[in-house]
Amino acid sequence: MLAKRRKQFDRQQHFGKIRFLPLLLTTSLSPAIAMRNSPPPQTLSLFHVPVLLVLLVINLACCGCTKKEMDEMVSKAKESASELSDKSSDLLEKAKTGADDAATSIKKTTAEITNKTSEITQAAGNLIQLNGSAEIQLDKKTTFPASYVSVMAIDNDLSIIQVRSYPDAGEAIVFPAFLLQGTTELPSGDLDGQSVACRFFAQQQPENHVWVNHPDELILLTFKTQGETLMATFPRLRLLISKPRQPSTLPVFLSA
Amino acid sequence: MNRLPNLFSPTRCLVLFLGLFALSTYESPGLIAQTDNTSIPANGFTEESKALTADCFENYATLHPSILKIEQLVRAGKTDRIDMKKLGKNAALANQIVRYSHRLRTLREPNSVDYSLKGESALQFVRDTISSAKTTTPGMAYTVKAEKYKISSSAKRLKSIGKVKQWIEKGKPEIAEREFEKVIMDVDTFLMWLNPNSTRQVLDQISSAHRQVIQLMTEERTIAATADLSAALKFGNPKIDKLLSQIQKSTEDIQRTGTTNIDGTSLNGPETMREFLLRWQTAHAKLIRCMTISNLGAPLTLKTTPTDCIGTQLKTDDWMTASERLEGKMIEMLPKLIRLDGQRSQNIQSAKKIYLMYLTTLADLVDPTSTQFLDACQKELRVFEDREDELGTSISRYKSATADLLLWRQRSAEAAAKNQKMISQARSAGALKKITFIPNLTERLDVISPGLEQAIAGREFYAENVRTVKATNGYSQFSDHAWTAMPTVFDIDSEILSLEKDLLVTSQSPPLSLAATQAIATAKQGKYSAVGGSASTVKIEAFGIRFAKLPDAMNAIVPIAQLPTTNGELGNMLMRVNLNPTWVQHRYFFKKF
Repeated sequence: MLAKRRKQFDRQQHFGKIRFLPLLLTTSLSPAIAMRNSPPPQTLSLFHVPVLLVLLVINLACCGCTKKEMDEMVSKAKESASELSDKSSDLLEKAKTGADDAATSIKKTTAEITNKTSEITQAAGNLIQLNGSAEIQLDKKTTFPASYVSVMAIDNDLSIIQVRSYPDAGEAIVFPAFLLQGTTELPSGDLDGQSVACRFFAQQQPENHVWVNHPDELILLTFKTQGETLMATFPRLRLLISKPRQPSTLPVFLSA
Repeated sequence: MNRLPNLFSPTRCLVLFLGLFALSTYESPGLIAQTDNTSIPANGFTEESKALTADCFENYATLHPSILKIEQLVRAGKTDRIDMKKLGKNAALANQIVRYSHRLRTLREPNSVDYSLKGESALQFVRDTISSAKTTTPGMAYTVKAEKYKISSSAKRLKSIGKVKQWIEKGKPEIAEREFEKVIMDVDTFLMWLNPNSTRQVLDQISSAHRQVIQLMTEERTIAATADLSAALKFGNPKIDKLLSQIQKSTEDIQRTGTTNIDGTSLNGPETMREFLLRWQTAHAKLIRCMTISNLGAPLTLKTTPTDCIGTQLKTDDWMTASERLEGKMIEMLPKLIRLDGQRSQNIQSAKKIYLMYLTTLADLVDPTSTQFLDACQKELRVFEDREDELGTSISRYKSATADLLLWRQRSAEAAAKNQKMISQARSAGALKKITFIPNLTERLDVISPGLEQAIAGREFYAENVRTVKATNGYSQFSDHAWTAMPTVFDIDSEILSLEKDLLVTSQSPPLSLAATQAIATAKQGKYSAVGGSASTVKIEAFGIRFAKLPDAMNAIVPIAQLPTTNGELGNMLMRVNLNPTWVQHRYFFKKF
């Protein structure tokens, strides 16, 4: 018990150093992404759908975040708090520093919000809740209502970067939903300018097929700060889905 | 004679669905050697049943082609061209099959149903053919011959019957039966040709001896069947009581010292877990066999009762309850081992070693469908995750790094498999409502089987929960009177590699969660959520044979908490579909070949 308390205390000490600023995500969306080839009809096997460009836009402006919203974020973040680590919090700090530089408005945040955000950091660790959305061109332009980024250190060298449309894997997923996950060394700890090779999964509705990248062709997700916006983009890629064949007109089995 | 109830209602039979592509043919895998599709072997708990089955098989192999030939002549209106002597011989062969099928029934052999049908139908055909042949010129001539033979053979017959009666008086009914067999085989060659008066005279000569032989031998066979089935039950006793007390003792040992001694071998916690998981699987297979043998035996009073097999602690003679109670006890006792063992490990290195051993043991041996048991283990494994050291941290980090990927992989595999399954449903929808998928075995196997095979072969099916034996042969879970067998040499190496990559697994870094360990283990072991393809052959099997002789390696043919369901009547049939796989659905990937 004592040890546990001490551990918590250590973490608090650690996070005390972090200046974590509130994030609000709004979206600015890229033009639609065209399909290069239409899928061959009547094909049962997996077929490839090229996606020219996908971008996730993460706007880091903090304005417009009320105390109530902040509280909600805090409680939500607390619920989904994952294990903290020194490494990942370092990364976060560095990542945040980059964002601070880009977004001058963040520096004007009120003390109250800063305080609240600090709580999120302590509660949620590396989970950054981005109150925004993402748009990805699949077979049609698909808007995902929210996006969340998390950085998790898994050992001394590697971190897992996750960008997803839902806050926690344990929670009921709202559709459409997506996951981008990659492993990276992230040497500078700053997401800006980083490229992470990712697996990609997306599903428009729970009953629909799942869009997934070919396991051998990871998606290079590139983070870039533009003004107050941290953008994550990925280039054209092949996505695999399997499609049901058209209903068959062959005779039915064993007629009455 | 029990005319099998309607077991094979179409909707229940199709765990397997219909689909699209006919593919290359494939001979059935060697889980059980398949010699003949239209007959059922003997369980053979009694020695005699094997001999009777062999005789029935041989008789029918002679009789059937001969009858087909005669049938052709009858259809062509050439009844006068039939070999009249052959008709009599066929009558004798058919009647012998009927008599032997009755003996097999007394010996509780499921194949008695089919041989009874075969014998009766052949006999009826011969009877009808003789009565119409009697009106033909050669038939009339043969009638006269038969009447003459009846008279000329009468003295010899009476003498033989006298011998039969002597053997009965001497208390040797087996010899009496053998002697009587010679008499009846001779009588059957001409009896149907006689006029009613002569028929009555012959029957008067032999009937009372026959009745006595049947009565005495039925008693003898009942005693033999009771003894042999009781012995089989005793031999197959799962000894659940003993298993439970062993677990109890070993758990205490592990808590105290970290090791326990099982049958002279010193085992640590994970090794003990492995041993008991294996014993549980064996006990499950034994329970299945014992239940089936016990049901075969009903209404005989077997000397070894279900209560003896289950153990007095359970105080029940209900097999299903026994199986559920066994699982309940296992869930209560075995996962606890993990916690007690985990609490002992102070040292991080040894804790990690033990943790990884538990993961691989559970992943290798616990069937993915045993969700209750796995959940209970998962809960106890928290003793490692909750450690306030690097091990605890790395476990929880690993879990959060892999949980999403597993979720999405599962989602993706399910979606892809659903498409395949939908193809089948689209074709079968509504079509199966009215039809009788398999008749209630009121027809012989040699009549049903070809038609059934024709209807099913080449059609698209899928089977759920496929498990692999010796890496090459797969079997599906038995459900609603059907199971599926298939070859399982699939090219899924790249799927396994990609799964390992997603789960950050290398030779130096093993998976750190139960879900991830099991994901990789089940992929390597060939445990699939579903396998689909086209049916090559279909075989009708007897429930009472499939499960009375179920190999240990096939214990996952029903989930470990369950037993195959039967309404307990002798002669229940089930269907085995041999599949040429064209796609597999693992929990975390889908592949179409």
